[in-house]
Amino acid sequence: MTPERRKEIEALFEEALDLPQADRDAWLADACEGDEELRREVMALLKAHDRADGLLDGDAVAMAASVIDREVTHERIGPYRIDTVLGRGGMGIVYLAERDDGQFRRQVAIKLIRGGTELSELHRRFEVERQVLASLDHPNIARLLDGGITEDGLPYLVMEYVDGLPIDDYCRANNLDIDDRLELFRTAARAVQHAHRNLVVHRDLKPSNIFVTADGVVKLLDFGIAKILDPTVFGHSSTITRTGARLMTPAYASPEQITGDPITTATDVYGLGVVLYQLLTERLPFSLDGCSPGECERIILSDEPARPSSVVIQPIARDQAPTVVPEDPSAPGLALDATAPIPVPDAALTMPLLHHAQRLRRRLRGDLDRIVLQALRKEPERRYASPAELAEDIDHHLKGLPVSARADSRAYRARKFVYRHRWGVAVSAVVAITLIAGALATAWQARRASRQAAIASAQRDRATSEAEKAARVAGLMLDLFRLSDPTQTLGDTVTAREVLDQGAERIEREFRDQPEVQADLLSEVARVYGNLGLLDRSESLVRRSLQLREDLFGPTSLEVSASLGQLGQILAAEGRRDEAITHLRRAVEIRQASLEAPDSMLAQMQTDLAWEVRAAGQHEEAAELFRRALNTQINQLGDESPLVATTMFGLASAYHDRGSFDEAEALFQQALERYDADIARPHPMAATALLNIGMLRRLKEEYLAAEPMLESALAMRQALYDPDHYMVIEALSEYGQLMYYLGRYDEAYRVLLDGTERANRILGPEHDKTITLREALAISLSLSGRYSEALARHDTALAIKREEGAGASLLASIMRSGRVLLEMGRLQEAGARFDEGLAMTEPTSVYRILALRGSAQVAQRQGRYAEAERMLNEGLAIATERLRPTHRYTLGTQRAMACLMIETGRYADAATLLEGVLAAERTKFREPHPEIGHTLHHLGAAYLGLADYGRADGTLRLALANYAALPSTHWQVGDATSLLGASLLAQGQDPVARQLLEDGQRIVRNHVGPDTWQARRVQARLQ
Amino acid sequence: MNAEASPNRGEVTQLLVAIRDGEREALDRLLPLVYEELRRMAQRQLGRERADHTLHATALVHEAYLKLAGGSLNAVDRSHFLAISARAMRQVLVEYARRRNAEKRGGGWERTTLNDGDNAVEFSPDELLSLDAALSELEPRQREVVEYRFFGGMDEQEVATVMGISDRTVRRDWVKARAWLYKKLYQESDA
Repeated sequence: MTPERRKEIEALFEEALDLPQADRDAWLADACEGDEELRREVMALLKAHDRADGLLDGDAVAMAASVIDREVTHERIGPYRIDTVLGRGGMGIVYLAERDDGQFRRQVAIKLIRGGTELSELHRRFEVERQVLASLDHPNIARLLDGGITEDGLPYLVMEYVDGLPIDDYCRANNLDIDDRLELFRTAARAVQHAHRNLVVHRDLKPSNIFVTADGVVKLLDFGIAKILDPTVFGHSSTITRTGARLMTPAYASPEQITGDPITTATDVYGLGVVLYQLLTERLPFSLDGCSPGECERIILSDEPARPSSVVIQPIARDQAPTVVPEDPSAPGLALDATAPIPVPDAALTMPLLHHAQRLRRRLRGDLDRIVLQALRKEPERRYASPAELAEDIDHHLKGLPVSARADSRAYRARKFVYRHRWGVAVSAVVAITLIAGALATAWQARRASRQAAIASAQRDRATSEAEKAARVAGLMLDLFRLSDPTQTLGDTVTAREVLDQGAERIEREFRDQPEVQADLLSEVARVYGNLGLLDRSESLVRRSLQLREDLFGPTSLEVSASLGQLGQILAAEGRRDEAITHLRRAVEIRQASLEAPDSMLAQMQTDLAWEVRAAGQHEEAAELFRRALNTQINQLGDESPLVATTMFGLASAYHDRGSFDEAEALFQQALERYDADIARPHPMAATALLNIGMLRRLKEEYLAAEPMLESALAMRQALYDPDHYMVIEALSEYGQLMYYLGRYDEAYRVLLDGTERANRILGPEHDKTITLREALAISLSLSGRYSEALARHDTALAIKREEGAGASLLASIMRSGRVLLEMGRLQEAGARFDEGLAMTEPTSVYRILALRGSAQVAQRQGRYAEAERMLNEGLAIATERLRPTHRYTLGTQRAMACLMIETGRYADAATLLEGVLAAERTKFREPHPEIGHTLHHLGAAYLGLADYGRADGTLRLALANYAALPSTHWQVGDATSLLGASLLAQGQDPVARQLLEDGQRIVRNHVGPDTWQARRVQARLQ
Repeated sequence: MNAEASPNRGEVTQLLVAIRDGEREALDRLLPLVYEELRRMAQRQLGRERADHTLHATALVHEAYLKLAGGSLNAVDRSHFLAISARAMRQVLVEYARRRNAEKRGGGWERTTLNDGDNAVEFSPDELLSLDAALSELEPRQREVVEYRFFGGMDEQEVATVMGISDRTVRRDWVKARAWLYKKLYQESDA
């Protein structure tokens, strides 16, 4: 195509684009004047245009990321030296490595995980799973030896290295017959059973995960790895919103993995079924080769696998027949349809093949067919209830005993109930009941011990035999356990809730003659209800227990105090703060009066009370209660107790509320140390302590010291909570705001945008946190020079705040929007906002400094210099009175004053002032920082005014370097460039200087427009 | 401010000044330096950060700029640098795509998922290489616009500044270039 032709096509293309879609064809036919080829070319380009939307919209770097990061290989990981790559997969890389710290030489396999999921999410799962996996100790399961996070942040698992072959290859290589294969398989199934007993599901069983060593030892690999990588586990993950990207190997995937239903132990039974199918027939139950994902899903979900005996056409071991194994799965003879006649590939092979195949078929027919098909049932509950049962059936088959597997559906219905309760549902009920019963038993024992002490001290005489009580409680526990037995509950699902309800009812009924025990048990059941979030029920049981104790022990007894304390906790959880305070206060009073010295229970009540009192705004009382509780806890429980940390936290919060920032920070720090947490071991309270310390430091303008705190706080919360959780949103807000104080505007924008979107979606657009985030986002936009976007967001926040009425927060919003308008060169509107600010502030308010500064800057741009100077002086006077000399309001106002001095020709004064500002800023920020850039920028102008060109050049270049975080299209960059041009021009470097002046002018005009004070200023330098 | 001095810094600064003064060879000498730096950083950064943050071309280029040129250059040099970086970035990516392709042909990759876990990859290495080839056929100004916007990660205004043309021209060239590319990449091969 000639360039002329191309131009012609493009011209018509552009014209056509301006037309409505419907008119294009007709217009084009006309415009091409019969040049049919031209018309076709333009049409094709238009068609391409219509579809090209989104093409190249992405970031080239993000696109290449996966390409690049897979090329990175490691030489060392932790204490391990990498020998070679064992394998690579979509989700990671497996190395053969050796520990080389001289201790012992042992080859290990290291699995480095590069999941397609967010790193923090990956870390969280990794930690959870790692602990579970480490507990798996079985001779047939490859051990997890170690694990950690590499320097570049990727989790890795160190596993026992298994030198062997996948089970199917092993069977083929050793010509194993059916019996040998079944034995190996049985061992594998038992190993899976062991894992299930430890609550670990493999999720990705296939021959390549079942190895056999040269000595014939079966080793299962990669237990639990699939769970770490599965994006559908552990709730929603922010980066993976696609559905259907579940990690699995299609040929071995169970129906529930396809549909996204819960993965259970039955999933592994299915996986074992596929492996068994393969070992017996050398075939997969379904042929998925060349199928689209949709077809694969349909086949796995709805096709019934053929009976193993019906698909065998060749023997599987050499001792049974000459081996002719077609390699190509599409070759004749490997038809999968069980009902179709078996095609025979070659007449010459027919006789021996069929003869031996018939023997094998007979061997499989019956038991083995049924066993395999039962493992492969679509519905999880219709499969074997456990790998152990599958193994047992294999066992029976090998011994010639009847197997349990059944083919027909009538039998299935009769057995359904048993299956459902043997595993699955029953497991959760048993676990819940064990927990509840265990809690009751231990709590009751503890109570009894303390009660006996109390009895002794009060010299009370109890007639009831302690032994009898214990026996009756134990009987109740046993009965509760029996509830989990499906034969007793006639097939109904038993929930933890039902167990509790029955327990509570029986306590009411059967312990009537022992009110003291009854009160104890009611109180404990109430505690469990409370933990399950069933607050109503919990409250009524506590009240019942309280009443019993009042009757038994009198209204000022320690027992009553305990019930009051418990009731207070529940009321607090229900949000009934006033009632909670009343009950907790009473509980504390009674306990204090009855005890000679405070004990840990009193301290607990005091802290419960303190949190409520603090929430009600009484900081001093809260601080006092926390302090007393803290003393008691340190004396009674020791400094190490986790309760001590929690109470310190409370005291720190109370200090913060009353404005004692330094004390608060020190206490948060002490609490933090006690949690002994880090990113690898996140702790909710530690995360909050870090966040608070970070916030306090930010308030004190110690930005650099705040950074590691907020960074860790965010990372920990991301590791602990769902990405949409309020805790994460809050941390994003704090971290994002710090980023702009640190001059990292791009990062601030990214973090705050993420936070705002989440807050908007989860908390709603008018939630306080959403408004804070939206304004912070606006600030980050405005700092990077994206003024109209910033203004729109400020105006939204402003509108909401105006509706809510006046206050410091409204004032701050007004100032911020004024600031943006000023930067946009819209002086009138900016002036109006600052005037509004002036009208709202008291004469000595620190916020007045901002209003005065803004007004002064508007006045200066409008040439009202004297007025501007008066306002700046007023602002500086307030600052001197009320703020630290390095406070950003002080420094900002000094800079504005220097700017005015430069404009009115007082260069030396300006330079002195700015040198001071610069020195202060350098203690607060790390360069490059645009704030320092601004100061240098002005300082350069002052030196230029003093005709000190050498210093002006250097300073302006440094200013530009500090503008690194600003886009190169920012008017400040343009202005500094133009100033540098002016300086070079004054030194006679004409061509370069002109170029810089023009560049600067172009940047400024493109950014804020030609009709602004900024544009006029650079224009003036050109003349 | 940036205490550790890169050995290349003096050279890079000189080269940028030379480019500003119109020396074409300087550009040829600078390109490999920038390329090497970007390649190194891309490898390091992407391996580390990709899962956590989306990394933008501009951020990489920025870092390369600070590393190579130090902080003491003016906005004009910076523009030149951005432009050169975009070209270098294209080279880096094409290079990787070639190698990745070679590796794929070697058969080293096993897919363990039903859908590939990497949805960040909108292009396959093949597509990236086709894109590179299709780019070469574009009219030079359109090609540059694509280079700056896509490979350099610049926005419309930055492209306009660097190329010294108006925003509007940038936008129009972008629309045209994209249509041509789409046609080349997806329609001509269909036929």
